[in-house]
Amino acid sequence: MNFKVFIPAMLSASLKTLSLFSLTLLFSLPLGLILCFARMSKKKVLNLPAKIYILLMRGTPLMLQLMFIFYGLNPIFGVQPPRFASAVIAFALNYAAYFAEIYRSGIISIPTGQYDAGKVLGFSKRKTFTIIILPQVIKRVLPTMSNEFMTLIKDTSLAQTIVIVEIMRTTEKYANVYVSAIPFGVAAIFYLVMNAGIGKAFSFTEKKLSYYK
Amino acid sequence: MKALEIKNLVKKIDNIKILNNISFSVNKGEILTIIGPSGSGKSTLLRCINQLEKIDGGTIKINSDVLVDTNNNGDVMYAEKNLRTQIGLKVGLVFQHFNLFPHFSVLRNITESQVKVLRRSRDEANNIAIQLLEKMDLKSKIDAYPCELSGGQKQRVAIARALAMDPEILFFDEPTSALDPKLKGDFINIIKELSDGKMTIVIVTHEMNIAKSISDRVIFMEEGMIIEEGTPEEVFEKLKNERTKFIF
Repeated sequence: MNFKVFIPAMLSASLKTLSLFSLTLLFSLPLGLILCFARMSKKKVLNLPAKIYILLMRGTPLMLQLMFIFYGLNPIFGVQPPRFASAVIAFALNYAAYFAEIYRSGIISIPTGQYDAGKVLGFSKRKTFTIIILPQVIKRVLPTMSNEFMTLIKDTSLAQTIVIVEIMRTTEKYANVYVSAIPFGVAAIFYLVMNAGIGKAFSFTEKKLSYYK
Repeated sequence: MKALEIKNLVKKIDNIKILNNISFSVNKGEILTIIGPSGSGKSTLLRCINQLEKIDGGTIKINSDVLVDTNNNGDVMYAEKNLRTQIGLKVGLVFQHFNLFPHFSVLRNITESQVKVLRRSRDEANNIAIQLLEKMDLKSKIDAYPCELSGGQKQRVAIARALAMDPEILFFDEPTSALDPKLKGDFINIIKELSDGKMTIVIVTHEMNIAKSISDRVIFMEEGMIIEEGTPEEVFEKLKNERTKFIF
């Protein structure tokens, strides 16, 4: 085992993993909120497509969606998204569906009295949502979100199927080169460290928001 | 002068008339109590006046501004949005469960709508909130969060929050249901104090004692209709004679 080669390779692979992770969140968190509004809308033209979309995204494997975007768009529509962009698009579209449902669970858990109080005090619908409802929703969905963030870190390993050199792809390569199981252990540690960081960040935020019930 | 005028109000839920041809008015500075058994529609009536529910017929006038009117064809016509908001700001409501904002401190519960809706400066809103909290004997709780307050304290914050918007009529939905007997006395004192300040007050309750001790006028509702109306003495005398089944 030549760690001087292997570890730097793993570090640069981690960078790939982390950038896929952050870009996915950057797009899917707001997209999920929009999707959630559509899903909760009373208008069928909005809620029906949202329901179908969420079913499709949650009901088929992320790996299939990923392959479809990278390999399938070209033969059908004649567009070929680049490798990394394909991964970001597939991950963001998929995670937005889960986030939409998480937001929805948070929103429906807020007592209707909060909306009534907002209305009676003269807040517009938009202000009622942003000032009164959303902050409470964020607090309520944090535990579920931390689950989802950790899953996303691990799901990035699926990107290797379209040959993105992230942690798992690098691990397999060096395991083959050195005919060794050590890279798998190292990969586990890399994932663990990242997720421990995420866990820590979430418990910190939860604590920050624990001043009210 | 009338602060509130309601004519032939009809409210249906699933085609059942929850409120059936309700007509009454409230004079400026008056304390009106609406009593009746649960399910009689009195809370729904409050929600209609506070625009939390849409009505299916009739007229609601607040301070001679028409919130909603119904023409001869039965078309219900609400005022346009700006006027509706304006009228909404003239009425305040203290909810049965107070509905304070749990993520805001006591101070912010009272100032947020002043700043974001009435566009007062933070300083001005804070000063108004502090004065109200002093009046409510709650200044020590200014930085507390709702979850740290007792039921009576929450109610006083809710009253302060409503008063901060300078309403002309203040509505109370079952204000004593969450209070123990001593706090009920405190509540009556607060109402009396507000009334001395010429506030128009409408209280929905099923507690006869509250109605007896503070109201200028009482309305008795049952099954979505007004059965009796008059001074507390008149109404209770009639009820005693005609409805002995109703437990006092």
